[in-house]
Amino acid sequence: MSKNDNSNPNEQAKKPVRSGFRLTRLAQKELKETLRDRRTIVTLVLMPLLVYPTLSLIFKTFLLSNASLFSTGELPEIRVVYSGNSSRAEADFVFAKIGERIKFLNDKTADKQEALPRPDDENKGNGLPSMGSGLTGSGLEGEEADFPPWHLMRWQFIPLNASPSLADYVESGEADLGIIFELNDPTRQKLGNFTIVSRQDAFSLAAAEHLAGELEKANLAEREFRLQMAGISIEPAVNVARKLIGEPMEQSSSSAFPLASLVPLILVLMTITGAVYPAIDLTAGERERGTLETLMAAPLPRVGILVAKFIAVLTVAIFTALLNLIGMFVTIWVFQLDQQFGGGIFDFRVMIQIFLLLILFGAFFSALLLAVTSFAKSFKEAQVYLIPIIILSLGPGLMAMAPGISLDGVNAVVPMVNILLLARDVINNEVILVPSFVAVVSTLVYTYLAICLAARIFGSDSILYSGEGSLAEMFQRPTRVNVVVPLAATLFCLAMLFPLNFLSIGFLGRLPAETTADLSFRYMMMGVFTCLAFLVLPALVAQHQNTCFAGGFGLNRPRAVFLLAAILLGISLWPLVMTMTEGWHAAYGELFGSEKQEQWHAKLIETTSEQVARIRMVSPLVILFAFSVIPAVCEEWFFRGMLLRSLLKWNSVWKSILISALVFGSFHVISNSVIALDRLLPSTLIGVMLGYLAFKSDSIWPGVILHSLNNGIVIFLAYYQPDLMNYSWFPGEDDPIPFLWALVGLIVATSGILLTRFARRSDLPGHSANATIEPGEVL
Amino acid sequence: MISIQHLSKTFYAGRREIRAADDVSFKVAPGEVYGLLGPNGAGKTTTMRMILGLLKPDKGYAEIAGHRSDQQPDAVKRQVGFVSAAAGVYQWLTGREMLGFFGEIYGLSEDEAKTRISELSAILDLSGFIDQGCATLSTGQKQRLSLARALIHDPPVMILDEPTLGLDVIGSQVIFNYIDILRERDKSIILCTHRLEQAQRVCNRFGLMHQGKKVLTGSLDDLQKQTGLSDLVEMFIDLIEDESVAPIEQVGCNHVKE
Repeated sequence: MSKNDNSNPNEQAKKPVRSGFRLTRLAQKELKETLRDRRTIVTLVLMPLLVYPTLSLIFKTFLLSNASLFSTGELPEIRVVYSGNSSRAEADFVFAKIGERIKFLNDKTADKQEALPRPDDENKGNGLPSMGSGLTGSGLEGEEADFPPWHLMRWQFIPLNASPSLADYVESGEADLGIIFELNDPTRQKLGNFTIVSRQDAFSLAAAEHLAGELEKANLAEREFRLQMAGISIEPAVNVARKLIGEPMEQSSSSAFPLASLVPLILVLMTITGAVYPAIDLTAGERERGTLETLMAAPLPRVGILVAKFIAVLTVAIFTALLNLIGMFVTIWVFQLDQQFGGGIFDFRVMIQIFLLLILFGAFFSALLLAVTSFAKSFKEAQVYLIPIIILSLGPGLMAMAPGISLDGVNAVVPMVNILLLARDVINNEVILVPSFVAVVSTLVYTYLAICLAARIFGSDSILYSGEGSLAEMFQRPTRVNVVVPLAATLFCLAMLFPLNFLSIGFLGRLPAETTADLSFRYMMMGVFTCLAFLVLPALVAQHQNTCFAGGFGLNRPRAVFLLAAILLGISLWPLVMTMTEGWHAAYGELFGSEKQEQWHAKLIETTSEQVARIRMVSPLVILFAFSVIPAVCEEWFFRGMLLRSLLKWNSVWKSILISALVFGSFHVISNSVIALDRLLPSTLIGVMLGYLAFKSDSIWPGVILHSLNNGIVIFLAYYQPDLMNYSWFPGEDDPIPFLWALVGLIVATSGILLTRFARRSDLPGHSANATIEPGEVL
Repeated sequence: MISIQHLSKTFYAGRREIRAADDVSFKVAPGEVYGLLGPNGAGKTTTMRMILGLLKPDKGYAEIAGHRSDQQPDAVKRQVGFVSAAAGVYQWLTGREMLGFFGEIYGLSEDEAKTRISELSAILDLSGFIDQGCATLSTGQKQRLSLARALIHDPPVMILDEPTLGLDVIGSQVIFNYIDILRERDKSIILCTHRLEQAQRVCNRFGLMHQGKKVLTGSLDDLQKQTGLSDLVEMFIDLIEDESVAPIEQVGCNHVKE
């Protein structure tokens, strides 16, 4: 033992340490370790080197196998090797003449006004003899014939001088096509015989097909030329004209479309691939090796450790993105795919913007990966969690490739879709400021939320030290009685609601037509599904979790003051919501352009009118239950009962209320599988109000009253609108909500809010102590 | 230096309720090695994690050098050197890099860390492999490196959870010899081990745990009087065989030097 060990006991241990420095040092360590790992190097360096050349070959084959692509303006280069019984100069001259004829024909088709060249002009103009005059003259004198490119084509003609044979050239892939010609007609009326040699693959076959077509064109041109020379009318028997009707398909740039959408998707997927390994290794991997506990035992804040790991994962993701970007652009350039982008992709600014978008997406996905991998106890477990996530992320990726999709409305806030669409717009130079801004800001918000989630999961007791646990244990009924439903069970319930929602819509669609034609039956079935999803399923889960219903769902008897507040709010919130919706429509117009807003608004009016017309065909009693009572009871049961009360066990009051309200709002956005974003804000705000009322009253019943009054008033105003419009005070169909209504609504709603705010929190005698929950109370 | 008061922790796994620690209390003074012993699953590791602030106790608290681990975990962690059964070395760093990194994390300057690394390297005989990548080290080398890592900031308290797991006799001997040295340097040490003969030699006092409860506690003399058995191995076997054993009141606290 050294002197030091004894002379200054604990001196260093007590020294304050700058936490910023320590975290930087930690991030450096994490990065150093990750970058030394050969598995990182494989994804970082080898993948771009292997993937892009392979992809470009596949893409080129795909591109050329699609015959229609040959008719577009930009064509890939086709390598043609040729040989025959004549000299190279003679052959070159023949190709030149064919090219001229095709050009003549194309020009004639393109511009009917242009006069046909006269034979005399041609002879005088370039000094070359016509095809009909035979292959003699000055064109054959030169060593290298001046080879004009065939119109709209990019051929590379390779003369064959020695062995290997032409077929070998084509077969080995050194050439895409071969032409064997015999120029043996002394009259030169017939240039010769051409045999096109091709392989059996799609690329070579398509090229051969195209060449044969072009040669046919040359024959046609020659025929026409000779007829003209002989003074024979060449008026066609049938004149064919085409006329286009209707609106052109919304397509930003026809030639740029496929690659401009594909490039961002590939880059994003590769960035994900780069981030996956370090995310697993620095969390689940470290835990498996025992180094995570060592790190947690050091005087570093848990969040700090996570942030350092996030920085390391993000840095690797950025390196991956950069190397992939370089790899992709080099490949595009080498394989001459850039013409598909109209050349714009090689703009330095475009590359920088795409790189910045990849950094942004990398940040979001790194945080998401860390949240998931922090949950895993081993490397293998983390991989099991990540595989579905990566497969699921292909969904938005493919969605962003759909033709006609644009960066506006909901697309601007859908994670991954927004970044992919923005990157596509950057490549096509079609960026619109506001939706792009929304896309960037929303991704930043998602990144922050994902980091918060990861910080919450990372290193928590239950994750770090809980046993592996079997699947059977997860579904076993706990022996102890729960005061509220455990959060994990509530989240399971929530996760089940989405597929149940879609299933119920699908089920309604599959019912026999004669039953669904009966609207009363249809609405009653909707009510049944709502009950099953929001009431029965949560009740079963609560029962399984050994939770008493009074506590788990807030079934306590509320105080009268909260019932009064609920009535005041129930009758006054709707004009405010309608005013807010109108404001949102106006804001939508400002953000995404008035034209889009008008289209969207018209569609909304049309849909709403159809719905209202259908509702009026049904008895008001059915409507009351289907649209007011059942949704109110069921949704309060789940959102303010089960969800809010589960959240309150682990979170602060406002955080719990906000989360439950956002989930509530999101459910209203996805209604009848049509995404209606205008419902998000009003529904979320009503969710906040309902949550606050449920918290203060410690009961869901005031919320049920508020909810059913609000829904009931809105639905019956629509139901009786034709009758009500007879009254002068009732606004017309397209009129906004009268200012006075909104003002009265505001005053009454404020009274309701104040009443709730200043009323004492419910602790009536008779309330079960177990049924009353306090925020932040831990089970 | 170390005061543990009524630490309790229960884990839930489906229907099962696992009482990992049930009202565990003891104290460790400077210059004392406290042997926390017991069969696998007795709750030793959970207790140590609660002492260090890695796990939140359901009840009770641990205090180290006046800081409670549930309230000031960072202050507690600065006072503690922790060695766990998993050697916990970074496979892609060299031993020197890893020690340097932890030195900086614990607030040592680069020069201080360098000096400290050479001292520890000499004491724990690390010089032969300190510049090798950790992935290439043997279990014994990793465990010595891990001990050096825990000592890099010269903490007054050491928590050693199975530090000789997987080590051969010689490797274990090196570790136990060093624990002796640490005791001479007035460190407070909690040692958790299955090497009972060695524990009997280096520990001043013992706490024998079973099913989350501390069932025997005191010096070797105290334990011998309570059980009528001569050594720890016999006591240990007796403890496991007698499932009905009831926890006894803490004795021997008067031995704690405070």
